[in-house]
Amino acid sequence: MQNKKTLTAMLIAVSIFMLLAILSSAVLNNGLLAVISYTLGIIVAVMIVVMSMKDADKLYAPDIKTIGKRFRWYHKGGFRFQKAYKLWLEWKLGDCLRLWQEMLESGSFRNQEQGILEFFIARCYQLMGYAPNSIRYFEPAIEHGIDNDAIRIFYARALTSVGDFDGAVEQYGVLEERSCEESCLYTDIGRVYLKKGDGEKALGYFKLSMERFQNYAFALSGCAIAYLMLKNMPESERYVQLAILNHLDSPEDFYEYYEEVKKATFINSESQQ
Amino acid sequence: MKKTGIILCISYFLIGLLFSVCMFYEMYIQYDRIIGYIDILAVSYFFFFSASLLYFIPMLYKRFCPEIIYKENEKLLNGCFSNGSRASLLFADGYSYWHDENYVMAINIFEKVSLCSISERELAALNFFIGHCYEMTDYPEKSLRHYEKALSMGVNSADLIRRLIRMLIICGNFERAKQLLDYYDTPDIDESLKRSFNWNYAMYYLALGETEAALEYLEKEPEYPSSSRVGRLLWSRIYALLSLNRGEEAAEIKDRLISAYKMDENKTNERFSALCRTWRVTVIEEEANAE
Repeated sequence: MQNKKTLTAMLIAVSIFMLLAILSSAVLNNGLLAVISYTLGIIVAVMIVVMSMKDADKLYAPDIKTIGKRFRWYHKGGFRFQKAYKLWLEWKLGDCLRLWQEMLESGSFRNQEQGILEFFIARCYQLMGYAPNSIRYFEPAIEHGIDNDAIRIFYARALTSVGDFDGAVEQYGVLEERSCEESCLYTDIGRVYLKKGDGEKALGYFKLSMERFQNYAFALSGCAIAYLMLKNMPESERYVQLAILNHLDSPEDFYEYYEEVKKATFINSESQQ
Repeated sequence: MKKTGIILCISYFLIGLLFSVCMFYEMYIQYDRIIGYIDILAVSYFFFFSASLLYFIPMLYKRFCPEIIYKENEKLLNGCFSNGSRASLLFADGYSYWHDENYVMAINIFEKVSLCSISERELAALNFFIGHCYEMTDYPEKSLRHYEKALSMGVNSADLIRRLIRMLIICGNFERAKQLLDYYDTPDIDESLKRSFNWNYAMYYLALGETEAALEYLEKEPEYPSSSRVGRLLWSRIYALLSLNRGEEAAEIKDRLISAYKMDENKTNERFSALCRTWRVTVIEEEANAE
């Protein structure tokens, strides 16, 4: 049940109906009233169970593949997890991180449940911009059995942002072996090589992504930056235009990054001369 | 679901039967001995009766009124998922989420439906709905896969073709997009499909960088202020005009975006000047600086 108040109200209703049933049969000696109260009580009790199951499915829908059937209200820590998850959906990362950490530190969760908590803590840190902290939680989460394509991608991205490019490539390698269907896989690998300064390899992955019709506009923008690194300005500019014409998401961010790389590339080449 | 229903039905029947036997026994044979049991049986009887009602009323509604639930997509579904099977009840659940635009939840349920044994026609329609959910949650690649399956299985609605072509363009599969555009662009084309083709042609030529042809189609596209597509339409016109070095016209559209559609002035100007730099349209920048 998403709302603890609703559940409390329903439990009170059940208790009242049951009390009424006992009272009417024992004191008032009214069999019909007892039967009706008892039946109503049971109906509300059944509703609690059905509603809580459906509500939890609805609440966890974005992460249902990770959470599965765990952390329902009748499970240990179910209410706290749901509270934290609601904060997560509201993008209150600090608050949900605190709750999840308290749950993890309580030490009352094992294996997959612990893994789920670690996964969400890692995601909170990652979204807050603390990649090194997130890595500390991604690793045990995978060890505790939360090993799907999404977690590997997030983990690889965290490794990329701390500069562990080989580690990131290794994670992407695992995904390639699994024939992962995430559309961002090859553009992500390309991005690792861009950060590594290997324009040639980055270009290869961006083109592979385009050939597979995956993340097309982003791959075009990646090609533009890779060509820039390879100092092929005409091709780079052509790809910038194509990326824009293919409705690249947030072109402002792309322009900013493009200008940064452009400056860095030409400063480097000037200093080398 | 089905198992729960059967258990409820059998329990309801057995307890009812027992209840009747006891009543008969009470009335005609030994009144005193079984009075306590009758109370318990009555309670159980009411419980199972209520539980059965709770369980069966929505199920009966889904079973006998599919035409009401699927009214909006009558043509597409055309009698699919209305046989009362587990798959059709599950599909009805997913459909209600889809209808409420809760696409994430709808995908979860539709994927469960796809694991059930359903007819080819049902699977085709299901693929369309899964594709649509993925499209709305911004997964064009997954959406494309399901739309293609739906088309190959015989779904031939204008809506599917329009969406499929759009996904093909977003994913960069221009060859297949052109193939479909040419195939369906005939004189006896469906009216709704014809209208959507302007947009699809515009996006197709724009993505390929053939901006002159794209602009021709973009100008045919009506500019409905309430449409969610209006921002994309105007920016597309700006891209096309800038690439054709028609900076003044592009600047006019940009101003309209700010004045009529209340776009953030700073961000719009910033983006516009970056676009001008991309296509080396310097005249506009000079004018803006002079202002």
